[in-house]
Amino acid sequence: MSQPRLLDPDLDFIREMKSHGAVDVKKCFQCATCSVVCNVSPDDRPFPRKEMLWSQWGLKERLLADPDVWLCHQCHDCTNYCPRGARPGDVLAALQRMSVMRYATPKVWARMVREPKFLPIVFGIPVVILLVFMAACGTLRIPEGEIVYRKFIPQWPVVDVIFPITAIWAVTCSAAGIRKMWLELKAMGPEIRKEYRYSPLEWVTVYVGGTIVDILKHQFFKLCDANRFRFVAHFNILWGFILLAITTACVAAGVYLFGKQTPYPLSNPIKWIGNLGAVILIVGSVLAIKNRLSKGEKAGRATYFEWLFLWVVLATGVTGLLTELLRLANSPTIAYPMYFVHLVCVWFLFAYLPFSKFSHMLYRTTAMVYARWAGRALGKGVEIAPPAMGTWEH
Amino acid sequence: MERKIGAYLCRGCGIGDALNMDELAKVATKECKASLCRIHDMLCSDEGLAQIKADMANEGINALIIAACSPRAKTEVFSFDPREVLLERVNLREQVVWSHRPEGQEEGRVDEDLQMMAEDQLRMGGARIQNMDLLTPFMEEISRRILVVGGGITGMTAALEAAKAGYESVLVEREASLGGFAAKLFKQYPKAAPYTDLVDPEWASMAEAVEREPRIKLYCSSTIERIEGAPGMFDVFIKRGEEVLQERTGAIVLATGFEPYDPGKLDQLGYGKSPNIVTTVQVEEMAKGGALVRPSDGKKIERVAFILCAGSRDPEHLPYCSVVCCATALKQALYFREGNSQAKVFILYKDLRTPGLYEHFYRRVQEDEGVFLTKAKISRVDLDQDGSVVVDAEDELMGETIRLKVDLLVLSTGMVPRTALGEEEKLEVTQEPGEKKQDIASQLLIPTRIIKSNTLNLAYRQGPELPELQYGFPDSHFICFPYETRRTGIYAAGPVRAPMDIAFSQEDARGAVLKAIQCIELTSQGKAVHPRSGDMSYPELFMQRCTQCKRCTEECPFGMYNEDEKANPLPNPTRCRRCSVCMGSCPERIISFKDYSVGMIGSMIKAIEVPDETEEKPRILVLACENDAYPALDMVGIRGGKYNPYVRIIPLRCLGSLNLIWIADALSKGIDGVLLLGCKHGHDYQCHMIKGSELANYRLAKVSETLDRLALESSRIRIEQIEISDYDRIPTIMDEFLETIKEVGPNPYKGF
Repeated sequence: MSQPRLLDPDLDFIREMKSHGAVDVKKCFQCATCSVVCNVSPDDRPFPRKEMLWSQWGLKERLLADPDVWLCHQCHDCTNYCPRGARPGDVLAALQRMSVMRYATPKVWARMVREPKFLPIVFGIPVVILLVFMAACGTLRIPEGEIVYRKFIPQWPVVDVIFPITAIWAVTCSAAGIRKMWLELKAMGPEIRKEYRYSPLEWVTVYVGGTIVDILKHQFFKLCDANRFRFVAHFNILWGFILLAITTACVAAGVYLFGKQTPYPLSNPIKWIGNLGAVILIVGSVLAIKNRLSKGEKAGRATYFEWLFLWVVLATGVTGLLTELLRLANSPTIAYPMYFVHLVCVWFLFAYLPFSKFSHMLYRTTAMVYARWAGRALGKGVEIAPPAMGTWEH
Repeated sequence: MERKIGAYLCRGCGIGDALNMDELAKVATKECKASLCRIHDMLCSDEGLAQIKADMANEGINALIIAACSPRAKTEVFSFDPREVLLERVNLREQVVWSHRPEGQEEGRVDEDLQMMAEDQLRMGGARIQNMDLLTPFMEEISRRILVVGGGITGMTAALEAAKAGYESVLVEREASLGGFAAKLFKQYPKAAPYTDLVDPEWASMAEAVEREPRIKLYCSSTIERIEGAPGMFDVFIKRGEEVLQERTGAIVLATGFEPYDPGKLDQLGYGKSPNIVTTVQVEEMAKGGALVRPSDGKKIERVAFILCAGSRDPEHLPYCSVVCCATALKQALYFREGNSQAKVFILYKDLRTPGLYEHFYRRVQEDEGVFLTKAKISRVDLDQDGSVVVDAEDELMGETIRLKVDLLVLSTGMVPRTALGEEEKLEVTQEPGEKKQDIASQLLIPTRIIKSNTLNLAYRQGPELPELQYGFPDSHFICFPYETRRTGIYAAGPVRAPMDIAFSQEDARGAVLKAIQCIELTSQGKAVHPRSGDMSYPELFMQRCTQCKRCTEECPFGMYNEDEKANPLPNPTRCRRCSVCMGSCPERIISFKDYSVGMIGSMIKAIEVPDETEEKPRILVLACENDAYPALDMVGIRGGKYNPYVRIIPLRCLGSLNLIWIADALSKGIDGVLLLGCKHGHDYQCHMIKGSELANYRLAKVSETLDRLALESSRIRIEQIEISDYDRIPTIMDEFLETIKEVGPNPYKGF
């Protein structure tokens, strides 16, 4: 028999969970239907059953150190099959929201994207910054002649100063969050098998590389049943972002390495990639929004936190595409403000990445890497290469 | 009695197509000595019945043989007063025609074996009616009052419900005031939708109603010193202080409730180690006293753990589930939670059982954020230096050993029926003259244990209290008839019958009091109550030939007989259930009913025609219990089953009335085999007479003497246990037995 562990439930934690959306957590009567129907959960110590139990008992430390919270892809198979209406998917969603808050540095930014009252500030910041920079450059009016967005918002020193700085901010905050999460998982989470401590190269190829391939293929998302449709939506959004990132990188390289200014002609392949990315992003986010609206609670109870992000993603795609189309249609009075709005949206995505729903990209990836690293099989029947030799050692 | 027999043969329902009715009519007139025989197309029609009635009026017919459907069918049509008319119904439809439908037989041709079967069944009916007499019911001046023992929720409900139905009752309560265990409760858990809020105890308003009710005569601080008599005329001697008062009642409702299991026996759960380890009963007292604090130091309770099944479902303590402990713990969890929003309540269960709609209450408590439930095995209970209690448990949900440190540990103890408290009554067992000492009771699987719990103090030959079924509960295993004990006219209700809560006790009390009223009403008409409801026959003893062997007084499952000092049996007919077990027990065959006797069945057996060995038509006698086997045989016919036509079926009131002489009669007549169909016996018995089928089984063990004397094989006798739902097994049983008989060969006594 194992050494007894003193349990003392944290009532405040339970209340906090409820305030983050896990209102039905106490209804669970531990039948384990959730873990059985979940196609993503590993066979060994599957989620979400144990998370439901720990949540009911308010066992905060265990939940915080639990990578499984982030292995959940929020398909809500469990919620739809739960005979008791305990909504395990929502409980895990609440735990995810809570851990975003927990890992957020600085915390106030996390609050800003989760409470509607901060909405004016959230968008006020980029608007003001842009306007100040534009005023300093003297471009605060709709330019005459052929539409060239540089005339309205100069590449230098507006776009290419604000955005790299914002990106550095996002990377720094993300790194801080990931580090915090990793350390907590290591300190309290499942123990790691020595055999898995490969060389740094293997570390990158097996754990990180493998995880990234999984994500790119949506290996696990595909397994979900109840909201299979969401796989299509999410897959599109992800690839939309990837294509747009490639476009942005090419354009930046064009400007600074080859001195080639935008806009590119429509025949340019970079243009093709960018337009394809925008269309995919729009399609993906429309599907995601439609899915949530039409399926209602079956798709999980979305909060402001999710909705804000989804609408901004859609807005980013739509304003981006319109910016291009309006330029071609030569209607400067709408085209220039559209570009402005587009930049505000893009700034939102960057600046709030580690704090908004976007942050799931960071934490789920971290959890998946950790799960591989800890030798925890991902998904039923999906095995990670077992250790070449030797025995298990903790 | 001068009997004038009329035989009525029905052609309906396919009988006329399969049998030669004219031949049957010959049997009726010649062999059954019917002075009149009529063949009718549909005897149960108005016209058919009018014919019978006309014959009774005009021809003076006073004994009817109705050869038609099963006696279990059309009872409302063929209903005649047994005090004026003899009635015998020969089952030609279900057990002859329907269960032997020939295959591929040409129209109009009668199967010889089937015709022989029908004729034999008719002959047996004739034999029976000639050995039957008109019934004269046993009538006495009876009391219509009901004695209710115990003034808790069950007893008060019973008395109040009796009053509502217009019956007077005498309510005897041990304590100075009414209320019973319920009076100790702080709150009750909800018993109606939406099952969310605790309710105030209801016993006090019930007690007021009892005190106001003129139809209830109340004795508090009183016990029952003795109960003499029988249903309809129980003489109850009530002891109140020094005085003994006498009351006469017609029936009794036993509602003495339960005692909580003694926590002193639960030292492995730490009881006695600290005042901070208590039972749910103590929590009620604490809550009622307004002091829900730590008993050791009066500190506010922040953490409390409940151990469910404390001593329950445990073979070393109470092997059964007490039903109420889970909901009680959930209720008490709310006591702590409602008093302190920071309180944490842990409930450690084996299984959480909240039957029926109490599930809603479970959900409601479960949703309280401060209530923590888990399935756990307690491994250790210890004390901490600061006075708190440390519980280690193997948490079967988390799959690990957990430790809880609590201010108060509550043990949820189970219910022990009051009737289980006391010493066991040692029944005197007699030795049969010239026989080895045989203690039949102790050889039976069905317990006949009586615990001297000082509850009813019955002046019965078989002991002062009700026989227990299991664990001290005086229940009787009548699945369809709760409240029935093994003493007629005494009905157990509430937790003394089976563990139950307040709502169920109230329902139980209503049921039991209705049974008591039924008992009074039927007894007043000289009729049996249960299970042969309405039967007006009763056993009569030809005392000149009694040898005082005591077998009837010992074997009666219902304690019908008392005994005088010379060991003569003293029947109390209103206690009787007419099972006729005594008839089967009597070695002198002096016990008989007007319409059922050893001689009657014997003559029925003798009426069977046994063909010569050369004809290769074996004969099998089937003695079938009327309660389960006989209806199952009917169902074979109804469901289109089929078995061989060599069987001859005689219904018995209970296999317990089996007399070995019948087997000797059958075998010496040349019948090739005897098949006994009775109810399932043993621990999980289905016998309506408790131990009739088991007694038959026991008596059959002695049949070897008969067989040896006749030099016959033991495989010619077989006993099978049949439940009513076993009809699909019957054809196989019948035909396999026929195969066995064919292997053994014909009975050499044929033709003697």
